[in-house]
Amino acid sequence: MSKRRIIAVVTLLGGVYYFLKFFLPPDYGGRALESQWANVSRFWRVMGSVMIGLGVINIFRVYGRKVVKKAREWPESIALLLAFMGTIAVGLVDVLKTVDVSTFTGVQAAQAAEPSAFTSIYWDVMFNGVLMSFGAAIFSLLGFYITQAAFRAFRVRSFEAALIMASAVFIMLGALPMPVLSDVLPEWLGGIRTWLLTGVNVGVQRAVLVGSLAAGLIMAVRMWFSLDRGGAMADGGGGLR
Amino acid sequence: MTIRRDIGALVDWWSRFRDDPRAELRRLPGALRRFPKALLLWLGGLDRRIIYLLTALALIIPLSCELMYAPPRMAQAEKLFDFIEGMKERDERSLVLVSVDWGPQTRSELEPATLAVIKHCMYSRVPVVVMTLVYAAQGFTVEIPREAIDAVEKARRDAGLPEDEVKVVYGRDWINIGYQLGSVNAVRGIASDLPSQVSTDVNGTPLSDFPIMRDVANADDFGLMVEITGYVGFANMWLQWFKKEKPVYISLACTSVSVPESYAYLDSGQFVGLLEGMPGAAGYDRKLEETLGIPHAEKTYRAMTQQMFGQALVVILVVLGNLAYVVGRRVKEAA
Repeated sequence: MSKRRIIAVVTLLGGVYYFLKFFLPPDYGGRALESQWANVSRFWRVMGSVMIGLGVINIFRVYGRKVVKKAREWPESIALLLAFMGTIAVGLVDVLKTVDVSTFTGVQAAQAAEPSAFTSIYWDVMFNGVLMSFGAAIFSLLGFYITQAAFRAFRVRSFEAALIMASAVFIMLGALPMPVLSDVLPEWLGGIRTWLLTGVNVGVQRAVLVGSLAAGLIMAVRMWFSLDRGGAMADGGGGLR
Repeated sequence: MTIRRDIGALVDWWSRFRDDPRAELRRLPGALRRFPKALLLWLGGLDRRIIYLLTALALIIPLSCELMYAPPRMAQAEKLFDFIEGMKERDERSLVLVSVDWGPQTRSELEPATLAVIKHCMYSRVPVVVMTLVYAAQGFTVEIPREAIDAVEKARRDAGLPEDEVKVVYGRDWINIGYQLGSVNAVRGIASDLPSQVSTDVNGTPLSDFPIMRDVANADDFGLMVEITGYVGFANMWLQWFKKEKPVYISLACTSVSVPESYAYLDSGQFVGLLEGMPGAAGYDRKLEETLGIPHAEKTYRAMTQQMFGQALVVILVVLGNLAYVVGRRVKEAA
């Protein structure tokens, strides 16, 4: 059996478990499937850990090859690999120093390790100093782009566009402090925001939700039976022979 | 380059004015009549870097001037407030689970909400369990409760309570069970059999050592679950999987961009309250101050004021952009 078919069979069996666990009555096998839930859950967690391992190998293969062959962006690849290995080393040193392997129970035990001064500084610089600041900085760029997009693209070209713009303005203004305007603006203006969110918006959101769930169901079935393009059961895939 | 062109036009005008000021002044009435239209046409082609500069100024000036205005009342945030207040009297299940599921990207919006909810629980002596499903939020599960404890103890001291009633005790009033690996599986594990899913707190001490966790077996033992997240799908995940036999009350604090979709669950009663981004958190903080006397977090009010200036700029730019669009279209049609 080819690799693709093995994946298809495992996917099918995984789906069958969840399907039957949900639909079978307790006395007709449902309880037995439910009792295996802890093992299945553990299996997925183990698989998650395996995926992390695969990711590590993949990073070394992709960026290591770039460094060895001095391909494009090889200096960045060295930086990535050094940062990667440094972070793993610092994390592992403290874990191995303080955790008794025989009582190792996963993440909780790793968190119990008291970090050394060097590790604390390393985490402080890399996490609070670099990762946090970069993450916040990149995300805050959105504010600048949104302001520019609002100015450039938010044009009242039609009646619908005017409705959307008016809604946006009411919703924004309704949630802001009004140091000067609060005495001037009538109270019902705040009520418009509430009505838009609880009335108009809820209906639309439900419609979107039902539509996306229907689409999700179709996608799930296609994945379950490997019917997607390139899957074992897709046209030309050859089926599960 | 638009900026260079505009600066060039300004320099040309200045040199003309310097050469012959009277001639320029004679042109002034006509120029003033044409000014609004010309200004709007100029605005229509405004360089994006000027907009970025205006945005930066709108955000930096209120912060550096330490401007601070009281936020508006938020009805959905007050629903959560009333629910937590009611927990003390309503039933025997008064344990609150707070999941801090956000990272550095959404910190500015969700940290105030996390702080406000934890402060409230601690002050009202509603025991609270803090955890996270996001690796990057591990530090916040330590920092934010520490900040909340300082605020609560200060408020109690200011209220004149005796010293033994001031302290917030770890293991009795709150506990941190830290980062839980496994997303949906972690949620399902906590909901169905908490002791087998989480054996120790964040410091590695067995949960059974803490009075707060002694009789906690599954989701049925929680009176409320507060999900604080900026990630797509997390709120739905808790709604779908965090239950055992009894219905669990769930509330959400989310980023402003997720507010519209959250209203569907609020309307159906699946969420008992909603903290809508920073306005929701600031509104909650205001309610805490007005009702319980816990001083508001200054950084929350300042951030809210900063947001007010930013959004006011957006509204002004949208209006000006549309006026420029209308004028530009008429000019084109006339030509």
